Amino acid sequence: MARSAPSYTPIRNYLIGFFLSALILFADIRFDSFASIKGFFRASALYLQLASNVPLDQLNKITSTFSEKIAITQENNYLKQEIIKLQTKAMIEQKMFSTQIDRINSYENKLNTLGMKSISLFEIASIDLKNYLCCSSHKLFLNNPDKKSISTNLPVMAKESYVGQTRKNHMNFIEVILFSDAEHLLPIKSPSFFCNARGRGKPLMISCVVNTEESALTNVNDSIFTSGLGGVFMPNIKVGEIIEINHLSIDESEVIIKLIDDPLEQTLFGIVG
Amino acid sequence: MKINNYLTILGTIFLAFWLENFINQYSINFYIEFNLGFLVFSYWVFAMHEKLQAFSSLAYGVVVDLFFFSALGFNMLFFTTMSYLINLYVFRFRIFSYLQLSIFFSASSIFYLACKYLLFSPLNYSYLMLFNSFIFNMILWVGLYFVLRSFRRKFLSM
Repeated sequence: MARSAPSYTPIRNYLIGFFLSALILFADIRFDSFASIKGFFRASALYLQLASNVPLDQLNKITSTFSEKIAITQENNYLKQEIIKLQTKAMIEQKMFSTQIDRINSYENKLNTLGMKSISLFEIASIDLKNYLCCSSHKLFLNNPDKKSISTNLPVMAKESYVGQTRKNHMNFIEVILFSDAEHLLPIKSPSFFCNARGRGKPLMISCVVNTEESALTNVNDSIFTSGLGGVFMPNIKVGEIIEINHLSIDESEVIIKLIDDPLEQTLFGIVG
Repeated sequence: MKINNYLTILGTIFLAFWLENFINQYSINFYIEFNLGFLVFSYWVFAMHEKLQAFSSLAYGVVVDLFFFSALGFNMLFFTTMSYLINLYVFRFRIFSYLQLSIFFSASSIFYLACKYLLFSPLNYSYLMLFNSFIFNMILWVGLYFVLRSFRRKFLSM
C-alpha cells in the first residue's frame, strides 16, 4: 500500500527553474545587470498608462463641447498649469537666489564661481508607490516629452527643497532617486554636526550616525541643511528636521531626520543644472 | 491547455497584483499587507496543477517581475518553488479542510513577504505586520478560493 499520495512532479525542471531564477535575482540585486531591460519595461508601462489617459481626455473634451465651455475650460486649465509652473519656478529661483546671496556675502572673492544655474521643470509621470511605501527603493519618474538631455546625478528640487537626484533616462522619462532611498547618501549639516545621511527606506526619512559629543549638542526639531560637500547640492538649503535621536552605543548616536518636501504632494519638479 | 487560458490566468494574476498595489497603499498604515497576486497564482497552480508546472510558473514570474518593478528573479524564484510544493502535495491538499488550506497558503504568502522585506527593505521588517498580514491573508484566501473557482468553472474550458 502506498505510504504517500501519488504525484508526478519531475524535480529536474523545477531545479533548473529554481537555480536560474536565483542566479538572475543575485545578478540583479548585486550587479544591477538587468537595469536596462527593467527600465525599458518601466518606460513602456508608463507609456501605456499615459496612452490609456488619452481616450478619457477625448471624452472629457467632447462633453465640454456639448456644454459650450470647452474654450473656457481649456483656458482655465492652461492658466492653472502656468500659475503652478510660475509659482514653483519662482519658489526655486528665490531659494537659489537667497542661497547665492549668502554665498556672495561669505565669499566675495569667489563671485565668478556663482553663476545662476538653469532650472528645467518637469511634470511627474509616476512614482514607484509600491516600493515607496514598503521597501528601500524610492524612485520617481518625470515626463521628458521633448527628450531634453539630462545628465545623471543632477539635483532635483520640489516646492521648497531638494528631493533627490537624477539617475537615468529611459526613453521619454527621467528616473529620479529620492533621498529616502536606502542607497542614497546626502551630505548634510546641522548647527552641531556634519554627516552623510543615508535614506532609511521609509517615506521622508533619512538618518546618520554621529558621535556622542555631537549628539549632545543636537536637539529634536533642529533644522537640517545641505552642507554642499561633494559639490552636487548648493549649501544651506533646508532639507528637513530632526525628529528622533537614538543612542546606539557609548560613542555613537543615530539622528533620524524627516524631510520637508513630500514628493507625493508635488506635481512639478525642477532639475537644477 | 489553450493559449487563451494561459493568457486569462496571466490576466487574473496581473489584475491581482495591480489591486494589491492599490490596496496596500492604504493597508500598510495598519501594518497589513495583502499578497493578492501571490495567492491568485497559488490558487491557479493548486486548481490546475497538471497544466501549470515549472516552465509556466517561471514565465509568469518573469512577466510579473518586469511589469511590477520587482527585482528580476524574485517572483520567478517564489513562483517556481511554490509551484513545486503545491504539485508535490496536491493530492494531500485535496483532503485538507478550508481552514488548513488557508493556513498553508497564508503561511506561504507570509514567507514570501518576509523574504521580500529581508531582501529589499530590512529596515521596515516588522513581526507585527507579518502577523497581521497572516490573519488577513487567511481570510482573503477563503474568499479568493470561491471567487476563482466559480470563475474557472465559468470561463476556463480545458
